[in-house]
Amino acid sequence: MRLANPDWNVDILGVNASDQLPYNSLIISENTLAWLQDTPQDHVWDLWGVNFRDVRILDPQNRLIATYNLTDHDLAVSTNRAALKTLFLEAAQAIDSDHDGLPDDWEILYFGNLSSGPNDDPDHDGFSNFDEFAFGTNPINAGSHAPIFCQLSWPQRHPEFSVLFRRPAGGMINFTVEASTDLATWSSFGTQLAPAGTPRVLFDRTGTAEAKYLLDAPYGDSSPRFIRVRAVPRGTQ
Amino acid sequence: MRPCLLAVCFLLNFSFIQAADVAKDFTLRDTNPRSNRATATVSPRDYLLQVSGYYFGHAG
Repeated sequence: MRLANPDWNVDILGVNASDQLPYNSLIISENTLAWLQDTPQDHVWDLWGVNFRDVRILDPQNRLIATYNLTDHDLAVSTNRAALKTLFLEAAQAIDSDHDGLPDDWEILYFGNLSSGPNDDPDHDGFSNFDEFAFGTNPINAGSHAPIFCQLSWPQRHPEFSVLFRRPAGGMINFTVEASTDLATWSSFGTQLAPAGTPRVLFDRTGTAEAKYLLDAPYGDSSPRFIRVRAVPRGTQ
Repeated sequence: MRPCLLAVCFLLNFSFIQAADVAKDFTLRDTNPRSNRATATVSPRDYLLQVSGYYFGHAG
């Protein structure tokens, strides 16, 4: 689902019953689903009060928002598949009720309310709230700065230049990698830096992923270039 | 005799639980070597600021 919809900020995991450990090979040999093994000590099935074949959907604040049982709603039926997909789609829609470009869940996580604006800088570190959201840093911690790395390596004896940075795992923001020869004029055209696959979700409780751009082909001249990563809200230029 | 009101309940196709309580945390190991979290210990809190779905099934 994620591969088909890279803008979705959704992950699905399986939780195997504690007495089903011997049969894991039957499941994991055919798919890439994270398959978590419950244990008698953790007893997650009891902890969450689930029924066999429940799908439990949590929102970005880890609150349970829907339960959909696959025994009651066989996914071989197309309308059931559509209903489940709708549940995830609705949950994945980033809510920005104050239309400030900052998701409500992000504002509530860090500020406890929706009063902050995208240009505010509550930790006075020179990075606005929008910058902090865009690059996955903590807006109330001045020591939290956007890690953007440029790296030159030689895998398989061929030079590889890459740019790595953190970004929200969903699709609220557009990122462009731009180049300049004079730090004054920037352009994304002809940078020849292209995304290398889908961003790698970090699962570190920040909802961020690591994006990697690779230099697709060497520049035709030997002029030095400066690289920057620009983030803009989706739907703006 | 007072009229008796019969409350009719109907089963919805799926159940919504009011988004109020945070799901109880846990930490379990991912046993699928082909997944993107292979061998990692996984908690729902890893998915804060993301939407996560949990399928409770039987491997066998």
